[in-house]
Amino acid sequence: MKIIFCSRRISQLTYLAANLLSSYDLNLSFKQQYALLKKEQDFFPGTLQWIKEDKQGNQIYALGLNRSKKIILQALMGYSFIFQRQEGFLVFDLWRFENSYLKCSWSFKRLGAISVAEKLNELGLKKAFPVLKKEIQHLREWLS
Amino acid sequence: MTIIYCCYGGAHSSVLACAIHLNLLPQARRPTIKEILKLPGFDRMPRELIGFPVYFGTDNKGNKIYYQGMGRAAKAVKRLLQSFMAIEGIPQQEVYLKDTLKYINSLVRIGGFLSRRLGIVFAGRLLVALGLILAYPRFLQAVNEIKKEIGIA
Repeated sequence: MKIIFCSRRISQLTYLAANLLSSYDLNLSFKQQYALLKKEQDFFPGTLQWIKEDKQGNQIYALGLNRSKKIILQALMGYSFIFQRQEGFLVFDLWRFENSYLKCSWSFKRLGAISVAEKLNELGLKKAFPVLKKEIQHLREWLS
Repeated sequence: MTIIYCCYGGAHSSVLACAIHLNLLPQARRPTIKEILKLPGFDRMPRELIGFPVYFGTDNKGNKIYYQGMGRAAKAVKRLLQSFMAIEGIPQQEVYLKDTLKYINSLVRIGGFLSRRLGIVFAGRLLVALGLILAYPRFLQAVNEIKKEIGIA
């Protein structure tokens, strides 16, 4: 199965979700999970990027979105129908886990204040972590 | 092969291009307002479906013709198509994406806004149809070039 995590552009939130999904040990603390994250990689909206394979062989992808989220998702659905690839696709929206820390982090990053942005990003991920972990746990159960 | 004509709302210029491609409109003269208004899918795309490619028909060489609205996300959607094809192993030459927005004029823009955004459908459609009639030779040329390129003209 192909699991597509969508979020604003492709942020560490996506990688965190992918790690949680593919991790053998879900009991790792936020600090331990955060240490495993790659340096943030930004992509343009619309980019579909392979991240990793989970332990059940599911392929995990990231999809960058922007304000035109609905249009991009409609297009994804349409292309999967046109090319008859609609089976085995699961889209998981991470947008709802974004909080004000993560949003501010983006703004600071744009302004070039990288260290402030990184700190805010860490705080944002920490805040989103418990709910995200719970949701990914449900996803794991559903997938198995 | 899959041919996708795209524009902003997927309601006017891309539908016209599809119709020209499938020979639903005359080659030797400009179409009438009635002929344009009668096109399937013309001025029909609901806002919430923008982004979804809609099947229009199949040409005599078996190419499937779609029209698609991309709203303000044209760049992102084009990028999505490219990365989707790369991931799924679909060869680049299998898909032809043509943006028809550059062939329209102000009448089409104003009419489209009136009809799709403000809900003034009757006046909006007439303006769009009139605008498309004026821009028709450009559309004809563009679509015929594509047909030549893919070997069906």
